[in-house]
Amino acid sequence: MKKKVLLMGKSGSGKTSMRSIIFANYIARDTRRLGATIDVEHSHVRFLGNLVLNLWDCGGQEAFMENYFASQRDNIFRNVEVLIYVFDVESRELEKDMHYYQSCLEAILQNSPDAKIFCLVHKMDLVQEDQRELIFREREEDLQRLSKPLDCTCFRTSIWDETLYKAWSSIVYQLIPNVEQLETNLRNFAEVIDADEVLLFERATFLVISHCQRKPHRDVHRFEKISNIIKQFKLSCSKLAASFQSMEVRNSAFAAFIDIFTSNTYVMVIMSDTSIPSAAMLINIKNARKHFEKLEGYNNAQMLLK
Amino acid sequence: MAAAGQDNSFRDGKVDINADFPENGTNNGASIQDVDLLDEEDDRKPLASPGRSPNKAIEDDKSRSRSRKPFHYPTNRRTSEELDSHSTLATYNRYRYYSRLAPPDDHRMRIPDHIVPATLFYPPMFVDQSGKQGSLITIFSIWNTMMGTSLLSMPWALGQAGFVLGLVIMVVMAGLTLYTCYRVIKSVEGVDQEGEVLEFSDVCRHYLGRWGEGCSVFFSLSALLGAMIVYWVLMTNFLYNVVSFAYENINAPGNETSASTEVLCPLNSSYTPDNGNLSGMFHMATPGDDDTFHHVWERVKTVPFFLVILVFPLLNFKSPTFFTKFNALGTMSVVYLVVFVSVKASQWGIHLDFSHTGKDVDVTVASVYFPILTGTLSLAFFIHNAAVSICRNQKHPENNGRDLTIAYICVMVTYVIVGAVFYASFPKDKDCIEDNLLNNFSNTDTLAFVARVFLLFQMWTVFPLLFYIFRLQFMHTLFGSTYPSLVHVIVLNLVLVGVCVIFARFLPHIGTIIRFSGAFCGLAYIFTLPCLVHLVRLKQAGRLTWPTGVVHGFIILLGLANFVGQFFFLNKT
Repeated sequence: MKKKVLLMGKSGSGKTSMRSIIFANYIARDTRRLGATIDVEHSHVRFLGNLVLNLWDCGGQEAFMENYFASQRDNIFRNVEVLIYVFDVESRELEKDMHYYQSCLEAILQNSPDAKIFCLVHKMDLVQEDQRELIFREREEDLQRLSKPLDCTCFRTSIWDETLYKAWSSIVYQLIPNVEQLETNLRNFAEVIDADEVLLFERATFLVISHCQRKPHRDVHRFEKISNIIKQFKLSCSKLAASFQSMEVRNSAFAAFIDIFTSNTYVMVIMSDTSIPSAAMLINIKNARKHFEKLEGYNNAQMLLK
Repeated sequence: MAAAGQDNSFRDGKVDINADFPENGTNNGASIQDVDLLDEEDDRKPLASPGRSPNKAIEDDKSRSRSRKPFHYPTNRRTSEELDSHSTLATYNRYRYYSRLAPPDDHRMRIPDHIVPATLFYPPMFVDQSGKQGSLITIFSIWNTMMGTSLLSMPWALGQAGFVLGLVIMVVMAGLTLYTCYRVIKSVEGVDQEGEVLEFSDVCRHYLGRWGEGCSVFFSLSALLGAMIVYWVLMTNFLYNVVSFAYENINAPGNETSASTEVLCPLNSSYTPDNGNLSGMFHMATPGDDDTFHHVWERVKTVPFFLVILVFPLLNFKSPTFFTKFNALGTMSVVYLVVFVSVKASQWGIHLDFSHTGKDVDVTVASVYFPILTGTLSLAFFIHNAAVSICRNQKHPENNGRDLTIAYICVMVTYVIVGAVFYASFPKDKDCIEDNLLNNFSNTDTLAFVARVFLLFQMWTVFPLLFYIFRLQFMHTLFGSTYPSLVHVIVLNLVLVGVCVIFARFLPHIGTIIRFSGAFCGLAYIFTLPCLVHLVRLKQAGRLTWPTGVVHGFIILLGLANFVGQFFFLNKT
C-alpha cells in the first residue's frame, strides 16, 4: 500500500500550479471552469521512491462535490504520510478556510494520526514586502493553535520567489529517514574527491535533499536555478519519450556532473579542478553510489519495519 | 552525454515519468515551446560526437551561445556583483521554466507585473522624455515665469542701494542666482532614474533625507505665500485707485487731467493717520464728499475686505486649468510696463546729478541700504522651484545651461531697463520713488490708469493659480492627497486669505514683503539647498575638493547674510 502525500487547499489556492512547478508537469487546463480538481486516479507522480502525490480541493466547491468528498473521506485520509495544506493569503474567508482545515485535521487524526502536517501560506508575492513577515507570523500562530494536538510546520511561499522551493525542500528534508547520516556521508564523499560542492537531489522533483559546500558561492538561488534548468531539460526529453539520465557540463573554470545516484536521488558534483578527466570522476561517483545505495537500503528497511 | 531533443513535433500519448495528463502534450502553446526549442535546435550536432574534440565543441558552443542568449544571461564572466542581479536572474530563470509548463494564455503561470524587474517597464524610448520644446520656448518660459511683481519695486530697490552700486549688485545677483539655478537643474539630471518625473524636492530627499525635502517644500511654499500677499496688496491698491477714479469721474466729471506728466511724491503729501494712506494718493474730492464713499472705500482699512468678495469664489475650484488660459496677460503686462516706463522716461528726460551741484536731482551712488536690493532681487530672480519643470521638456537638454544663461540675461536686462531707466529719469527727489512705482502717478494719469486696470485684471486671474499651487503642495505634503476634503480646503483658503488681508491692512508695503520673503526663501532655495546638494553629491562621488567646499560654503553664508541683513532696516518701508 503506497503512502500518500496529500496536497489540499481551497479551490484556486494554487495547488495545481505548485504541483506543476515542483514536479515539472504540464499544467492541466484551468479546472475552475470544469469543477474541482479530483486527480486521485491520474496521479503517476511518485515521490521519494514510495510516496504518491494526491491533490484535493478542500472546501469551497458545490454541494455534490462536498458529498463526494464526504463519502470518500476515509479513503482519502488513510495511509497518509504527509498532509500539505495550502492557504491563499489573499483569501477573504479566513473563518471558512480554518473550518475546512480543521475538518481535514480531524480526518487525519482519525485515519493517519502519524502524518506530518505542513501548512503553506501561499501567494505571498501579492502582499507588500514589508508586511510579509508580520502577516505570516500572525497566520502561523493561528494555525499552530488550531492544529493542536497535532503539530504543524508553516511556511510562507510564492511561486515567484525562492520560498516555494525552500519550503518544499524543507518538507522533503523532513521526510528522508536518517538524513543526518546521509549528510555526513555526503561530506565524506565531497572531501575524498575534493569537490567544490556536492548536492543530493530528490529524483522526481530535483529538490535539494542535502548539500555539502566546500567553497563559498555568491548565488544563493543556485539550487533552485539548477533544479529549474534540469526540469526544463526533462520536459524536452519527455517529448521524445526519452528519459534524462546524466549530464556533464565543462568550461575553463569548472566541471559539473549530474548523475543518477540511488533509486530516489540524483547527485551533482562540482569540481573547480578541471584537469581531472571525466572518466575518473564517473568512477568515483559509481563507487560512491554503491555505498549510498546500501545506506538507503538500510533506511528503506527501517521504514518498512515501522 | 544527453543530447538535446531536436525534433519539433510533440509526441504525446506516451506515458513517461512525469507527464501527468496524457492529453496535455497537444495543448501546449506552440509559440513558447518553439522559442525554447529554437535554442536547442541550433545544436544540430550533438556536443560531443566521436571525432570532434571536446574543446572545439566547447568553443563552438560558446561562440554560438554568446550570440543568442539574452543580455543578462551570464555567459561571460561579467561581474554583476549586486545581490539584486542574482535575484533578477533567478526570476528570469523561473519565468523561463514556468512558461514551458503552461500555454501562454494560462494566467496562472503568467509572470505578474509586480515581479517583472522595474527596468523592463521602461524601454529606452520612453525613458528619454525629451519633449518638443525648443530653446526659444524654454528661454521665453523662464523669462515669463520670473517676471513678476518685483518689477514694480525695481526702481525703488535700486535707489535704496544707490545707483551705481545697485547696478553692480544686480549683475552680481543675476550671476549668483543663475549659478545656483544651474546647479538645481544639474542635480536633477544626476538623480533621474527609471524615468520618474522628479522635482528638486525629490533630489533634496535623495541627498539630504526627509528634512531636506521638507525644507525645500516649506521654503517653496513661503515664497509662494510672499507672492500671494504681494498680489493681494497690489490688487487692493489698484482696485482702490480704479474705483476711486471711476467714482470721482462719475461725481465730478471734467475735473481730471489726463496724460499728466506730473509725478506725485506721496511721502510729502498730506495724509491723516486714521485714513491710513501712508503712501497714498491724495484725491481731488472736495472735503464734503469724503464722508460716505471715502469712509467706506479706504485703501488700507476696507478695500482688502472688499477684495475678498471678488477673489474668494475663484479659490475653491478643484482644477485651475481655466486660469492658465490667462497666462498671456502676464507677458502683456510686463511688456506694457516696459513700454510705460520708456514713455515716461522719454517725457521726463534724464535727471541724474552725480556731483550734487544742485542743478539736477541728486543721485546716491552707493548706500548702506543695499541689502534691501539684494532681498528684492532674491525674489526677482527666483525660479529655482519651477526651473526643473520648464527645462524638463527641452528637445536638447544639453543646452539647458546655455538657455538658462540667456534667459537670466534677458531678465536682468528687463529689470535694469525698468529699474535704472525709471530711476535715472525720475524728475523729483529720488527718495520719492515708491516701492510700487505706479503709486508715483495720480489716478488720473491715463497710462498709469491703464496699467492699474491691466495689472488688476491680470493678478485677479493669476492669484487663484498661485493659491492652487500652494494648496497642492501643502495638502500633498501634509495629508498625502491634493484634495483631502472640502473642509480642509476651505479652512486652508480662509487661513491664507486671512493672512493676505491682515498684511494688506497692517503692512501694505510690498517692498518690505518682497525683500523679506525673497531673502527668507532665497536663504534656503537659492543659496543653501542647491549648494548643499551639490556638495553632498561631490562628496558621494569622492570628488569634493577644498576650494569647491569653501566657495559653496561662502555662497551659503551670503544667503544667510542676505536674510539677516533684512532685519537691520526695519524702518525703511
